[in-house]
Amino acid sequence: MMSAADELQDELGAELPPAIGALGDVELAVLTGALRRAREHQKQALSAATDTGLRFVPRLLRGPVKKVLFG
Amino acid sequence: MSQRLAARAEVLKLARLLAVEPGELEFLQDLPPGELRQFRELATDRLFDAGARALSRVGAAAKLLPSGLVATIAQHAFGPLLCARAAGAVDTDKAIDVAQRLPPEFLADVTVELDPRRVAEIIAKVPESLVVGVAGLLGQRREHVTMGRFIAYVPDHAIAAAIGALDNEAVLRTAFVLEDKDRIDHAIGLLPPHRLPGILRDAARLAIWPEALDLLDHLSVERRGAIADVVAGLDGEIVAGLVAAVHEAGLWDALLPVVRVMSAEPRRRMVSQPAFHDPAVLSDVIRVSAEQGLWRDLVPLIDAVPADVRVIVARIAANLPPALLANVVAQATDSPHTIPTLLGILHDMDAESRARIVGQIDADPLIAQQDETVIGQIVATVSTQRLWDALLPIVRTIGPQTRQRLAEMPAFHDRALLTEIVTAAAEQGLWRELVPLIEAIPEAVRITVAEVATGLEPELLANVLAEAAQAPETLATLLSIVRDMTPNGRTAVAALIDDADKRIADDLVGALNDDQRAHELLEAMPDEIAAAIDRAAQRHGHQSTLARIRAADVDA
Repeated sequence: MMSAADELQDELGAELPPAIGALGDVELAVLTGALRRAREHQKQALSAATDTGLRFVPRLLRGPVKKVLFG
Repeated sequence: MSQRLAARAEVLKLARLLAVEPGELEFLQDLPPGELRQFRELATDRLFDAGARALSRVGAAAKLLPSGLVATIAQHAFGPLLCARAAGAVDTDKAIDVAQRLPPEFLADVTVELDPRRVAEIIAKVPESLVVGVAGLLGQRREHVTMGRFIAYVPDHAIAAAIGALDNEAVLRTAFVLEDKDRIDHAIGLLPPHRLPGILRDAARLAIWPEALDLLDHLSVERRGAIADVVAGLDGEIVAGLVAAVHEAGLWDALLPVVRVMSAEPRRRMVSQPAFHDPAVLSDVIRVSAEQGLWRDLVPLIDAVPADVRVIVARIAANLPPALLANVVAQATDSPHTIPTLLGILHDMDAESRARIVGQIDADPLIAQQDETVIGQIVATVSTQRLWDALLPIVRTIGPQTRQRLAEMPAFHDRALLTEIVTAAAEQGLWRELVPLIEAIPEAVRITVAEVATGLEPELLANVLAEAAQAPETLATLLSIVRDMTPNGRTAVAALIDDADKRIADDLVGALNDDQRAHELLEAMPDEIAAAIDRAAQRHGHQSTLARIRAADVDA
């Protein structure tokens, strides 16, 4: 099982600064949760915004823009 | 910057990034600010990199569309957070063209979410009018953290214009969370000078002294000095607020350097405020200074407090734990101009505390590490401030080599100075403390000491005689001085012995009786002194003891 420090490190995608790594499990979990929520929120918002944004694009341009956006 | 203040600023910034209340991250408050910043930057990178591919596609798509349409989509579909994330992927000129078509309120929302490191090029080219509009809105919304992150990337002319759009509180709070603290001095230089007093008054009104002190802490010495005088000129109530805030938040490391660079008169006026005289405050500032290496910054404050408060300072210093005392002595050793203040504190102690403290500290490096010029300056200050009761006990405790070096310095060969030292010793009961210095003084100069002693008022000479009689170890030095005196001087000493009361005679004969060299001492005595000692012995019933000493029949 991953330690609380490992989980935060995993979420951060980088090595923890030593003082952060030395925090207690409860505190580490607070940071991990906050970072995860921020990342998930961003992902969902980006996906929704791209869909909504396309509706503003004139029909004529929608094809090329979609191609750029989704390949 | 105080570590504590820096950590507090970092917690605010991280809370903003993660969209949580700062209170939820309070457990980070005591961590090193450098590591907090590192963590925040890693978290920022993580969030920006998470959607990097999708965002770069959004940036590429924006290129295909007219700026007006991109602005509409940005505002109505993407919203501020995603615009901020995508901005770095958009071509700079396009981004600025789009920004100019967006309302300032929306741009302010985007700015809050931006990572300035990723859009530095765009920020540098944003027109001044936009910066001012957005800064004004951010100020109204109290987005100080946001502004603090941006200053390093905004050109000077735009900063100067933006500061004009901010009120005093916003300037202070923004400076406090400024990402690149080295820019504070520069940014404050862009502020019209007439705003500074108002900013400091508002710090007091709003009870945000930590922010104000942090700002002062980051100014260059020249700018800080001028502003420090503004602080010094604040009225008593405001100063009381400042001292209370510093005392409560443990920010002496921020205030003392400000006090140090004040001009002398404003500083004296400021520390004459009762807020600085509270024993609890003094005790705190002295302890913190000793602990944190702030002695050099504390000295101007001590020098400026009234005499009755210096007595409280001395009492507090007398009760410092030995380890902290040692810290102070070490710091004074490195900053020799502060040594007279240290001596002044010893001078203000009661005699018992002074003796105890001098016994506790290792004062040898304090003297040994100073060159002749510095010693000369210290001696001159000791002379002006009459601190011999502090210096002489120290001279007695330092190592013989250091004392020898000291005694060989010309400063101690000056007749006027020797007169002052010998007179002070005679007046203040410091004979015992003076003897080691006299013993170390070169032979040729000891004649001067004898001449100085000859010139002492009879009552002062009597003081020396009485003290020497109680300190057998000093008797030989006294008698050698008497031997070197002029006949007139010796006659005066003989007269004093004739006038000595029974207690002094008892002490004197007792001291001789205890001294194994007493026989030689008496042998070497000029006749008139030996005769006077005989008469005193006879008068007070010590003939047999004296006879035994003369016969060198001393108990071992």
